[in-house]
Amino acid sequence: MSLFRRIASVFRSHRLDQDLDEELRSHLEMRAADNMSAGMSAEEAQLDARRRFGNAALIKESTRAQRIVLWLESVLQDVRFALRVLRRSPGFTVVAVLTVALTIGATTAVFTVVQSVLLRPLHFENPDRLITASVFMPRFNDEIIASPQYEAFKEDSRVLEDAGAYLRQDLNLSGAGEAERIHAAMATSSFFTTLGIRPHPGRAFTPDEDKPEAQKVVVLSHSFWQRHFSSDEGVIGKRVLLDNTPYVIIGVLPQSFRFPDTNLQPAVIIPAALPSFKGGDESKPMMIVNVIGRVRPGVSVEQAQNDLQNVLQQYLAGTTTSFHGFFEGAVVHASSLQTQLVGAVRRPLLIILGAVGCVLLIGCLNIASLQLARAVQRSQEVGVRTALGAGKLRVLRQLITENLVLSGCGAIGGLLIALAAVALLRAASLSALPAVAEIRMDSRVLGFAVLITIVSGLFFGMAPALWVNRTDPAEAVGKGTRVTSGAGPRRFRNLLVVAELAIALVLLAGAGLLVHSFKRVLAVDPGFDTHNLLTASLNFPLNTLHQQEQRFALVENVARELRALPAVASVGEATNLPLMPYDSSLAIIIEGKPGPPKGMAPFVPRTAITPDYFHTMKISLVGGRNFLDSDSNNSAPVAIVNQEFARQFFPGEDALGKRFRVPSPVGPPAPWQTIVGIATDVHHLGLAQKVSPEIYDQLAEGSIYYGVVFVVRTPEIESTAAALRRIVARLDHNQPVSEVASMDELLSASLADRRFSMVALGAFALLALLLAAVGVFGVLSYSVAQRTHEIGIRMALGSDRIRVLQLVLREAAWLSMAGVLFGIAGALALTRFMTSLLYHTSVFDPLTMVCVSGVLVAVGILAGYMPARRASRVDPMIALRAE
Amino acid sequence: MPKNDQLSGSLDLLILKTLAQLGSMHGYGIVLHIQQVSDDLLRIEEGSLYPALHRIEETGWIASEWRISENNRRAKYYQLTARGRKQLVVEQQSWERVVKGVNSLLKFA
Repeated sequence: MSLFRRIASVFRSHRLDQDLDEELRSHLEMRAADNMSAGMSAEEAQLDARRRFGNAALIKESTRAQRIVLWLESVLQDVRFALRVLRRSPGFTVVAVLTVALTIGATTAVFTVVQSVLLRPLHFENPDRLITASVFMPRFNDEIIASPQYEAFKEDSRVLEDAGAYLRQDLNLSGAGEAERIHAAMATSSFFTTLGIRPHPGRAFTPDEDKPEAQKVVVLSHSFWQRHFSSDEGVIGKRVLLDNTPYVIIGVLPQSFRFPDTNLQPAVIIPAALPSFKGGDESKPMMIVNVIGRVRPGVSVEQAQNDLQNVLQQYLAGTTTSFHGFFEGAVVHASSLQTQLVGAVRRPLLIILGAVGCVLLIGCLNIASLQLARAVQRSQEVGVRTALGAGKLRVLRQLITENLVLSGCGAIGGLLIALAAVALLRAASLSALPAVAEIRMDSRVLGFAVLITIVSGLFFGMAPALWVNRTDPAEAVGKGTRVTSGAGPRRFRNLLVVAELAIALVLLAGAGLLVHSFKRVLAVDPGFDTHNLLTASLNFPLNTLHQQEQRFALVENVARELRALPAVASVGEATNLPLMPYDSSLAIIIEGKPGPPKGMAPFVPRTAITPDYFHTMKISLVGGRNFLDSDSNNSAPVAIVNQEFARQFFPGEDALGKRFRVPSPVGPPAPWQTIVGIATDVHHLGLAQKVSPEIYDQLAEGSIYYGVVFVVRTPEIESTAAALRRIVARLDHNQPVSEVASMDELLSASLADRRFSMVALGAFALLALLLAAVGVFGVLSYSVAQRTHEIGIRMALGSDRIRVLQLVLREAAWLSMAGVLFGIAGALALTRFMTSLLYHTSVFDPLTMVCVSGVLVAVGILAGYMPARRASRVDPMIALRAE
Repeated sequence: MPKNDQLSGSLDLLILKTLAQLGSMHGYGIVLHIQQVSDDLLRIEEGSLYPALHRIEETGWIASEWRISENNRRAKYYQLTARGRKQLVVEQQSWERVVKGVNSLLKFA
């Protein structure tokens, strides 16, 4: 009711209210005038008129109410009429409602994701004032910020109100039940104040607890608290064993808290306890951190960035040491936290939003075109109604109501589809989308759905309705059933269908490029065999770094027991695996080559492996030899490098036998390492990433820093994984096994983002193609129905069925070809926004364009086949006699 | 003078009939006409007249336009439409039936 009242007031009330006011005023004046001529004084006359009149406001109110009730009644009448009309042509109604349901469902589902991921504000205090800051160092081609720069930012920046830092530090949880590796973060006490998070029960760290020598304390995540302590409020003050060290629980994070880093949702947070570098003390260990700042009110991200750049310059001017070379050309990058969090998915999501917008447009064009066809058929009905005295506006309103009823019915179906799609997305919990758990429909999404329903209803209903209203009743009625479509609407409908086909082609081209690019990525040889390969990690607490003997013994024992399993073909160990980030890169200098300036030596990632590693991974050696057991005792250290290393550092030379070492600016020089083997390149950072030079060292006592990854070649992944867990638990019950996965799973996960974009865009492209096909089908069916008479004459004059079939199919082909022409132009204009999503694929890829054009023309002609067949079955006798 | 609330059901009839007699008239004139013709027996409340006029107009039985009145005032004049004329016949017949029914009931006692 209130909605109708509002709509009513928008459309008609103002003018009518003025009208009523004036009418009542004239009544009062006439009464007063009569009173005066009856002998009353002017004042008396006015007063009497007023008194007789009673409460004018009340009269106005009830008059208005009458109007609204009547208006509502006529709306209901229109709706009932519309339902009747729609029921009378079930074919059209089903197609139209399905079209609306699919398009609105798709659009709403995508908008739900966009709203949840891109638009909804973060769950922090004044989230718009939160920024992230890092330092881009051209030397490493990476954004890195270390604790001294963070300290400088926090202390010396004028625009930052507060700043906090965190870093990822997974921990071994032991003491109760099976040992477990948990995600954890180390954070400064200011991390909590910057974000405005108050743990409950308990509290966050105090600055005093955030110091290296302080008592160990921990804040639990809500889910960890639920899982391990059954949400017991009395947990505060208890201890948990993390990395074999007792930590006192001081607080629990609120349930709504999401860590401001998509890739890190820690189970617990412990103090970062960053050592202070005040006073230029550089002997302390630096830590690579992530920084979140809160700017003062009114400060923009750009201002913050400029200020932090100044702070960085001052900091560098104030330090004297060796690492100046690191910072050459360093630039501060600041961005809003929200932008940072959604950075990676923003573009794919916007492209998908654009795609679904195109689908919506095609859907609307489709229904507009169908409606136009019906409008032509209905000109007689409308003509009769106009002749009987229905106002043009009244008829227009009725037609628009019909469209709104149509889109309303479709929208209900659409919302159901959207709900199902969102539930599906959440269940799939795609790693590609941050905060996938928070994707849900809310009032804004519903409002959006209602809005597009009404707008699309008006859009696809308006043109045909206006056209109908243009018809002259006398002409329409006079013509009887032989209403012919003039060239006007027919050309207009062809235009609509060409537009649909063109948009569909743009989407197909986009999806085609992604498919093509995905195929190229899949065709990349990873450099090793991913099948039947189990991986699992043993990670060690940093405080057992000195117990290298025990660590090495554990790894050796586990490997020995694994090898004894009947299903295991071979076992290798490494400090790092392909498809995981590198954990160690060291600078190198090469014997006999001009040394780079101080501090400018290139960094090369290094992995320590056992001799069985290459064999197990099926990485082949292209030159030299594998490590030997005897190498580890050898006084002259050896190394194996990859082909890219040989190419980059020894172009045109044989790398075998050459020597390199890490530079040592102070103290005695490190020993030279001799290259004894060259291994084939492995795509370490992902199939689509460039191969970087790599060095393999032999895994030995003293080289196990964070932990060790086992690679096990076995056809029985599941049972071997279980056996591995049992073996480790038996050998050391405090040692968790983590990251247990098959290499195929890891490879698939590394492609999840690409697959998501491809599948989403592909699905919308197919939907667009389907809708466009329905459009072609509709136009041609109608045109065949209109031309039955003409076709009858042609056949009577000797045209055969094949030629009639061709006649219609040719029209389908022309429409499709026109669609291809405009579509290719549109695709060339739009697909360049996709460059960043493509791998070794040009956006002008001719093969893709030819393929999708072929598909479009084929589908267009196919859609024309049914009407064409109907045309060819026209019986000339019946067609001619029908008139 | 009693208020004629019980008349509201037959108000449509009175308005239609008045307009049938006068051709076209504004709201004030309708009030006066009914009062005079009924010898002051029927007095229409403005509070029910205007809602009724607008309802009847919206239904399509009467149409309105702004005109200058006999004493040079702008006023909104109402007049019967073709459908209104038909409706008047219907209403008049049903009114007469009601009156007949009520009369027989009264006489019966």
